[in-house]
Amino acid sequence: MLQPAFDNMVHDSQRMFRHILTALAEPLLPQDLPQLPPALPGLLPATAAVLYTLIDQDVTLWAPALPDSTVASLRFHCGLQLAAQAEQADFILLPLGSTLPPLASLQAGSAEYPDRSATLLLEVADFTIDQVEASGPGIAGSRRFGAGQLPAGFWAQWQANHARFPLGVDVLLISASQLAGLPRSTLVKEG
Amino acid sequence: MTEARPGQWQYNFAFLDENTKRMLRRALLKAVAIPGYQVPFGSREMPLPYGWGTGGIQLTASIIGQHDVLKVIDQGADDTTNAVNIRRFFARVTGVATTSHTTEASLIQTRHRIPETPLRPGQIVVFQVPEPEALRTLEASEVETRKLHAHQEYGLMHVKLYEDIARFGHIATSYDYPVMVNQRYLASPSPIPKFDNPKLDMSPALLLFGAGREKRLYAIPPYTRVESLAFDDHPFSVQRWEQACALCGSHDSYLDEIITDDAGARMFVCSDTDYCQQQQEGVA
Ligand SMILES: [Zn+2]
Repeated sequence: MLQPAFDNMVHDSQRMFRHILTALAEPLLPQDLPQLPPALPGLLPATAAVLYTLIDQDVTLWAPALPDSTVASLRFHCGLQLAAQAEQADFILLPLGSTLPPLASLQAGSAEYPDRSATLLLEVADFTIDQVEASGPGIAGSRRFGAGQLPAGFWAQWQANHARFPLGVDVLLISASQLAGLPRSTLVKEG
Repeated sequence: MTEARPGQWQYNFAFLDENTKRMLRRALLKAVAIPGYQVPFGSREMPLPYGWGTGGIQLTASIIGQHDVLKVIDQGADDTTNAVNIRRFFARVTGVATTSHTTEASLIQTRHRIPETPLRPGQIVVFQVPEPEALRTLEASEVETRKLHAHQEYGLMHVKLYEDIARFGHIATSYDYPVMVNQRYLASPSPIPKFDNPKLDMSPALLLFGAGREKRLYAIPPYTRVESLAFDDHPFSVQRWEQACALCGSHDSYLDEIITDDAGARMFVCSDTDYCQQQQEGVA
């Protein structure tokens, strides 16, 4: 069964893009996402909105096994191209509770073209806990942040990812109805 | 999805098709993640010749939404031909509200100035950029400038500025004065006067730069360190005027010299027309 996507592809994807842009411009400040499309089986409601906004036939996405109907819906609405391996994908989608592939194994760009790097779409439970202190572009001073049900070892791997700047991956942390951005430029201290 | 109107040819909201917008949007996200780094993008032909701000127009078209309030300025003024044409273009292809007031705008497209009125959190400024590569006059090859950025090898630029000092006693560059973004990438702030450079540093607004002919975009996120290049013995300084604005009396704004009659009489007035008007009305 195909799931319906946005009510209005043009305006809803524009609004969603602005939330994503703001999320990366103001890292780890959760953005509320009103008016989401129906959830795709196996994914949080906000994740569908992110996918409809960013994915098309020009990029590849890797995900652990997704329900057939979700893949079919994404093929129909976005022209989804699945990557065979996470290491080659432009986008990596990790549903809640997935195992994190080593961040260092994902596309990090090259010294001349650091933009040719992966974006990780990482589902989390919520943004109500306190885990780290973040600083860097987009953050005036410092910002406390935490995300429920992050994959084990995420913050340690993040520090290694940030240390490769300007190379590295960027992350969108997605809860049921919120979104937080984590660009490679963000420095994070645990505790 | 296509907004058809009677008697007009059909176009998509904000003119660009959705595939082009998505391509630009993905590039913008990478630009924000790597402040000051120039992201190449595939370009769609725009209904304006290069030099009219196609890069800025493409960025604005990829981010603008129904609830935005758009301001467009050229050299600080809302009423020049270039600014009027771009503002009318977006009013026609989006139906969004437009304004000349910096404080009311959610989205500001600009050529050659940053408004005097302080920007606020949540605002986005789109700069029209003719030449995105700060090193281009020193190194013609794109392959080479990419390598220089990759290795953060910016000695050439320091040499150029120091030659200015040797020759003129000061750094002669007064527009498009190079900046270091987030202590990593050397970037062109676009041809704004160096007077505006300090406004780039730790700006509360998101700053986006689009170069149409060169098909590149880059970004300075809010609250990002932006330093104008300088030397210990020649610190960075901005233009100052002995006069106040002849219209509003401001001592703090960037002034243009204008000739007021055939005899060549001159006066200095604010280049930012909205700011000047607000000052005259005693608002700000
Ligand atoms: Zn004035």
